Amino acid sequence: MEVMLRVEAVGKSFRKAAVDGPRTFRHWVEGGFLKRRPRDRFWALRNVDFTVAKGEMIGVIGHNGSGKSTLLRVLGGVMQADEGRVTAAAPVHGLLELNTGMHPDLSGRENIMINGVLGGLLKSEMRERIDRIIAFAELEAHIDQPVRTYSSGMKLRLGFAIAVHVDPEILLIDEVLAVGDMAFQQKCLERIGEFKHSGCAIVLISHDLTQVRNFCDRVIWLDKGKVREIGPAEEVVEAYETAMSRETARRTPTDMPDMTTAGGHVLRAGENRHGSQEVVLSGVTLLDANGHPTDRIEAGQPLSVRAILTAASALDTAHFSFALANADGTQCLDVNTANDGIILPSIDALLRVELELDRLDLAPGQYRASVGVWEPGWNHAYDFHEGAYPLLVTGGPNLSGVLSPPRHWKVNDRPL
Amino acid sequence: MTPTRKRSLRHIADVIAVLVWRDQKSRYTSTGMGVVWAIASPVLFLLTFYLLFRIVLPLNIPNYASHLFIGLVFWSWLQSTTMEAVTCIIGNPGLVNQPRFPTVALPLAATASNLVTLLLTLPLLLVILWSEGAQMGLSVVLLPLLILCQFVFVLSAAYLVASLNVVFRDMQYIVPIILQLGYFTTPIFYDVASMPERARFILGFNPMLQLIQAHRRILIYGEWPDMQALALVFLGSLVALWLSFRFFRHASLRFLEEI
Repeated sequence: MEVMLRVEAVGKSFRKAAVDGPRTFRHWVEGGFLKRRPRDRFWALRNVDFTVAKGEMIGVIGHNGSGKSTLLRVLGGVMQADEGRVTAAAPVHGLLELNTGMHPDLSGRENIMINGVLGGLLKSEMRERIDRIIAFAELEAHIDQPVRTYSSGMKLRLGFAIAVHVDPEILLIDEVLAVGDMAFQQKCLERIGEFKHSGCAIVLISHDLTQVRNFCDRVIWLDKGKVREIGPAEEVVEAYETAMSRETARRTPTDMPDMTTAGGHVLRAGENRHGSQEVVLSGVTLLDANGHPTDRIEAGQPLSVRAILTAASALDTAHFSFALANADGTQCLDVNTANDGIILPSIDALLRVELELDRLDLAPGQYRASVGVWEPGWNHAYDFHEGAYPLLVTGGPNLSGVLSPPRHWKVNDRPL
Repeated sequence: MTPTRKRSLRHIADVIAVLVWRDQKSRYTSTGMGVVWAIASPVLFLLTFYLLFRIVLPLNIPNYASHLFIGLVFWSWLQSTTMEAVTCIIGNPGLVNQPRFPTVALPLAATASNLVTLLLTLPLLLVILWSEGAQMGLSVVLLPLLILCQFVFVLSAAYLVASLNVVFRDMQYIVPIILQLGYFTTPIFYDVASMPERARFILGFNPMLQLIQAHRRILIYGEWPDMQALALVFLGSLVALWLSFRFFRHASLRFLEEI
């Protein structure tokens, strides 16, 4: 197979910026114009080796700070490796930050031109593609309006449409697929699939393990700047997930006292409660349509979940998750703030999170709800209450399926 | 030249064109007044200084409006460009992070865009010159050369401050102070003739002084400027550009680590 991108023993080190902060001219003068002090450096990447072949898609997973972004920058050539080398057989394109360089007062059409040229194409090449881009973004009606009038979804479609029209031979993708409405997301994934078929070598960085599993041929698991594992997607992702739950188990304090939920159920560390307790979940309540605490609702009725997050010391952000499993243990619902594009604000002391499900069309039966708060890189759980909240769904006959949507039968003895 | 190299040069040219166009277009579409804003600021300064040094504290400089306006518009090319260039790297992390984005284009685009702004004020300059009865002559053919010379000088300053601000984060506060100093040591609202002999010799090394003097001699009096001084300014600017561009290229490898 033809190798498009070859990474050989790549290493990249940074100075410890947290210690010095950005340097200033004032300090330099006050220090008597001294030569910069020898500074501590740490290796963000070390001894990274791999190749990406034509038509291959390789995923990069790892916790925040494991060196994923540094790797992407070194591959993109915007950062120079201190050791080893990167050889690319074709220009490297990036699908990194959408909408860079766009101006809100200019029209969509004008911004396509700007963004495309800033992304590596010539003006003449953009002129050939502009109609295709507008059609792909489905923005024909608004294309001559200023971008400031666009909704965030429209902006995203515009940015994405431009980014996927560069016809790359080597493409770097960073996380961007996590946003946007489903239909458009699907369209983008299809487009990326087309790239792959036509021989494009792709490197995808993602926190979404399902996506990595589904799309990547091989996966690299980075851990503290080193390749921990590299191999077939399924194997590596599974090893990573195992390590993740082990990490949560390791961080769960063993001497934590049991806690009783409002519904009278006991939460016990290591059994149905996991996590480092840097953020503690309390007061988790399921609410019915009238806002009353409940443990039973009728199928098709709304359901809300309320929880209080308490942080021992201030934390930047976290992910909140809610899941429902039926009596067989089948996961019927699994949602989280990250997937829905919600970013929780920094948690100084207290944060109240409420999730409203407009209607719950589950088949009647007994369910158990899990609620969790997670480290922003999904590294480990802060506090995860596994199946701790029972919920009885009532109304209608017992069904063996999972769903019970509102339905009508029409029977007619006359032919159409 | 290899095709790849040729393409990347064409791409840099396109990036600059797009950035300049975005800058100019957005400036004039976001406000109802349009292009008027391009000349509003120099006109305001013109009125202030004119009032101050013609009426309150008369300096007795002939053709004072022309004299002043030439100083103002050519100085503000340098000033606005350096002010923009100083933050052009740290203010655009998205672009610097983009594979295949030529960072060398950012200071160039700032220089070019402010040249466009300058050109937009030229008609007004002509009106002022005409109303004060300026006597332009053949020497006007030197004007494009003067502008080219200043372009090289402004660009070298832009590359220098852009890379310095990445190394020393407080450059963006120091540059305005230096510009302020330059503003008063360059004969913008006063005249070289009023400076003492020794000061004139020392400040004569200021390229902006030579450039502005040359513009005045050409535009107001139709005379030929001091060609020897201009040749030195041009050579000096070329050397400065070469050095600051090399510094920028060297620093650019570290840009992402510092921002």
